[in-house]
Amino acid sequence: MIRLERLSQTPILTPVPEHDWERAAVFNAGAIYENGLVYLFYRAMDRHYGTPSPVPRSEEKFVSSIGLAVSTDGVHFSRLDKPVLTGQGPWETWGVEDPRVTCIDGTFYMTYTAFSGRSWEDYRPAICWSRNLFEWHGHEVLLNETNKDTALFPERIGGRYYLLHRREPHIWIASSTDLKNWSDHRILMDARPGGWESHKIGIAGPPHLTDDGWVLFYHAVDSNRVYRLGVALLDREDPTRVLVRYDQPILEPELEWERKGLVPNVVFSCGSVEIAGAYFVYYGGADACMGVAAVDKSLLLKELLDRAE
Amino acid sequence: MIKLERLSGEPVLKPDPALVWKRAAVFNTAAIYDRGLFHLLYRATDIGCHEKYGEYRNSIGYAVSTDGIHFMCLDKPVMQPGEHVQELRGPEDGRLVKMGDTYYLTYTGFSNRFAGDYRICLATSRNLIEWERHGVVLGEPNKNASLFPEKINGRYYLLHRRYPDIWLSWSTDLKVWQGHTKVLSPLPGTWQDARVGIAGPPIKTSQGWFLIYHGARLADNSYRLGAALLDLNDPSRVLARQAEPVLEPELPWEKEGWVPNVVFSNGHAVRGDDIYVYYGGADTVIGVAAMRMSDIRF
Repeated sequence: MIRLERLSQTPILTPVPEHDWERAAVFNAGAIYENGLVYLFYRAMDRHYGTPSPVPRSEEKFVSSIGLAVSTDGVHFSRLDKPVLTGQGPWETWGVEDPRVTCIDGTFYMTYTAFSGRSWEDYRPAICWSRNLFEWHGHEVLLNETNKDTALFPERIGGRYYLLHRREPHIWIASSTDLKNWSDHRILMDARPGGWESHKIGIAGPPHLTDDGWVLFYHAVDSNRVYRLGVALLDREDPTRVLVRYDQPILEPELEWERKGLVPNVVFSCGSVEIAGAYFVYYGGADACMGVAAVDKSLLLKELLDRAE
Repeated sequence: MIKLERLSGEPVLKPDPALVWKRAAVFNTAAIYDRGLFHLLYRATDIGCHEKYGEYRNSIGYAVSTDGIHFMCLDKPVMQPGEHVQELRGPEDGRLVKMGDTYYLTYTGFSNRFAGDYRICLATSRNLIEWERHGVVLGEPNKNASLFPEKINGRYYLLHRRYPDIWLSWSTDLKVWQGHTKVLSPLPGTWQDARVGIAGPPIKTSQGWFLIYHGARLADNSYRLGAALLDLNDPSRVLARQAEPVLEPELPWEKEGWVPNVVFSNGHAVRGDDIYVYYGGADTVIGVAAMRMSDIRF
């Protein structure tokens, strides 16, 4: 059985009380390995979630921004004192959440959840782009529907861009020729009753290309609202085909800071990088801080291929 | 007359009392405009940066901006004291150039094991965050050094400072430096009568290499910035030198600080026709002033 191994028993990023924008939580980071550095684009919140209510209450408004941390070893990070992305326009009044970052043909793309705060369901997948990882343009709605957990594939396949997204409770996939008009929406993987992925599933970060196919990390929620991470392998030429779906979770909440936080019992990933033959998977712990766990790439692929049908 | 105009009445970077390594001062910064961003590699100290305040420790911090005025700063230094035997008290006063895909940082390695224990050192990077040290460049007490941003007739050129003058030398391998020549000297009875040293790397123009430098005055140890022009093919030839300073301490944070009456530059960012010159104010904070390439006239 294969599992992610934690590279740190303590969080690698925690909130900064001196910074208003990231004093409550830092979690769910997109990740990219570029020019010898790991860049983490993490979701930061200025205050805790409000008390449960039928509609978002302005007096309990929490706003998410995207902060940037960099590392030379993937574990020890240095952070900027200001966010690199903050909400713009009516769709982002309550901020920008859960970024996934991909590089396609030299341009960086960040897909994230724009949250208007008009109702709890009033969020949209949105997209920004950058040439340098610090200055982001766009803030455009990617899919005009209640949807989240989106990521682009890091290259075109058969001339088409591919997008993973989530119509509850399943992971969906769509494709496009222009990154704007998305078609061929279909379910890629479904939530499975009875076990650790019974309530809903969604992707982690963008998939990784290997000779054997696309490695896709994803999250799954059970009936007790416990979030775990799983892994699957998609066909290299036709990513709508699932070659292997590993039946066991590869990471689950175990440590104190993964079990207790703003939302209990959550490990949730928005990104992973490949460094020296291993995947470093970055994950939010209990919606409050960031951790990292890794798996050897060849061991993972061997384990997945052993289970291919 | 060439003059720098301040882009902000306030410092663009200040010390951060919450971070020990830069709680006292941020000043003397290398700079570059690259990939659409303004990058700074600034000197920071934990206490006032003069022996009279105690054994201050130097680090190099990284800041980045999209407009050249509003900066975001990493919370940890990219270079720290104690990482090299020549840097027991830390790296000081970086100057930055990019050749090919590599960034070159020349800086002063300060150890203070004995009198005059400071040397020009070199580090390289491909991302501005992770630096590989190459050790001492010149085995002599020396500082205020910068590479030219490109080779001239197949040679690397280095400006440096043998007290109290600005010197030039060349190398084919960045290791052995030869042909040391005096380029600019203090001018008696003026604002630059004590010593001179370069600011940032020379800027290539059609007229020649445009060089901003600092000059100190004997009477009160005040520092100003001046401008000169060096020959494109033979940069040991000074084509012009402006008599008046291009920037002098005027604002309160340039006149008052750990070392009063200092504007001291290590770098600039060139975006189109604009030259953004970054400078330390009173060895305590960082400011920015600008000019246009098209206004270079001597």
